[in-house]
Amino acid sequence: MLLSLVLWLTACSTISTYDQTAYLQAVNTKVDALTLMSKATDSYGNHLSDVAAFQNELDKAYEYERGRPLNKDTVGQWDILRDPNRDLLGGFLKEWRESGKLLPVYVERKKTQIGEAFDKIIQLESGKIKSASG
Amino acid sequence: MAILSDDIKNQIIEQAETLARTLLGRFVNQALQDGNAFLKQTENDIATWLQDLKQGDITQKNFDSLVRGEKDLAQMEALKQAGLGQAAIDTFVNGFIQIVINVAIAAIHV
Repeated sequence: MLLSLVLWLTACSTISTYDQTAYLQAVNTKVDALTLMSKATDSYGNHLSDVAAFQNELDKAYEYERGRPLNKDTVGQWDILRDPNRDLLGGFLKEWRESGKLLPVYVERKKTQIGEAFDKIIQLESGKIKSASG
Repeated sequence: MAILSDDIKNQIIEQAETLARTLLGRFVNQALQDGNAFLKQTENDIATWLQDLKQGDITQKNFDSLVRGEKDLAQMEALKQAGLGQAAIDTFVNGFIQIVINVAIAAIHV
């Protein structure tokens, strides 16, 4: 009976455990996103390859998160961050593409806001339970 | 069929209650602090952007996007808190399992 109780409770995890790869991907993508955003005061057309490389990195990080079980809150965060019809990273890149270039103060304000968005993803990952193996 | 004695069950309940107060109470306090800090910061940010708009450093469209971005951030914050709440529950469950094991093993060795 005791063994059954322990097995039942063990099977009741509600969220994924901490993942070092996910944590590092979020940190690295944040740094690269802010670096790319700094270029948005210049013409979008001059940075097509930079944007494409970053979009690839972003997609990889997102797909990694989507593949983890019990990870809907983190995936939900990435969905908001990436969505081109919202007002964080996805919206910023769309706005840059459509406007050609953006005002320096606006870029700085958006960098702060989007940096905070990444921090929320990083803080959630940090708060997950560390498994015995790491 | 074997049953647990009242003494063992009472010990488990007592220790589980202490664990719940420690773990989940701390989570609730942290969530409230984070929420208050977020509200305060949003207020300050909007004041700064309004100043930027008045000075012509950003456009009306930029201002609107920054304010809407706060709504997106709030939703990301809610997801963070939901996830951290689930992690706190999982931590409690793991602690509860350890209590059950410790109390049961101690009872065998009495």
